[in-house]
Amino acid sequence: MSTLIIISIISALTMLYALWSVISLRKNVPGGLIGNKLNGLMALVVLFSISYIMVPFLGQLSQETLTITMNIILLFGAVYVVATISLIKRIIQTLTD
Amino acid sequence: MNPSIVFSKTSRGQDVITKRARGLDHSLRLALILVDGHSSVNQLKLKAMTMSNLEKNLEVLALNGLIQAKNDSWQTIKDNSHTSQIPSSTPDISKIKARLIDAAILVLGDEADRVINLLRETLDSPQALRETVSRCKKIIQLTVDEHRATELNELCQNILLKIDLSKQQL
Repeated sequence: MSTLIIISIISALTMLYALWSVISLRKNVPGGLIGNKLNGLMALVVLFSISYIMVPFLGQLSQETLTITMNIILLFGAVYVVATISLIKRIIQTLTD
Repeated sequence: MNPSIVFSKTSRGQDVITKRARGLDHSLRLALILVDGHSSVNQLKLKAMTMSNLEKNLEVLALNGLIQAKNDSWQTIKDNSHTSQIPSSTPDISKIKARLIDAAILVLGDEADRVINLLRETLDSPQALRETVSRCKKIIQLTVDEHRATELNELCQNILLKIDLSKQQL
């Protein structure tokens, strides 16, 4: 088994664990500031899970499609980071009020 | 207020109706008559569409022990005051705590468990209760609903005011 496949499997499993974590967390947090933001984060985690599972098959795409796909995933990755930082910021703000 | 709460009259509430006791505002009396033990707040609202402040009246009745919510954690308060506007002259912290727990049930319904536990674990001191109320507001704001957090905080602050009023009277 090539190194690339092993890394892909580990990445996909990690992302599936993240998906399970976010779904469990969502059940305990029905709403509020965290609950509302979790919906968006959960959608992004679903997208990343699908993307990570698809990684071994991306080699079949043309170079141009592959570049576009990778850039879209990276863009959503950046959105995820911004959303997480904004959530942390709001939580700190609420706790220090 | 949580619209799915079902209220029933307490024995004190029944007495007020059957003995036609004075000292209860007309709109509060109407709200008390409406409470039947099986209609939710939403259903009561439909029955009394002309009553503009039904929720507020139910809240006052509930926090004064004339009606009770169908909830295992509900604390029946046994004192002699009929309305929340009349402060008790002796601030009994355990009664205040019971009112805070009831307020949490009124606003959060089935989602009040975490707040009820926090209130129960709080020391019987005004300062500790204030700190817990503030913590509860933050928890609800973050995990349940921001509007309900504000609503519960206002209700709790009104209840806690009784301690300050009583202190001033002493």
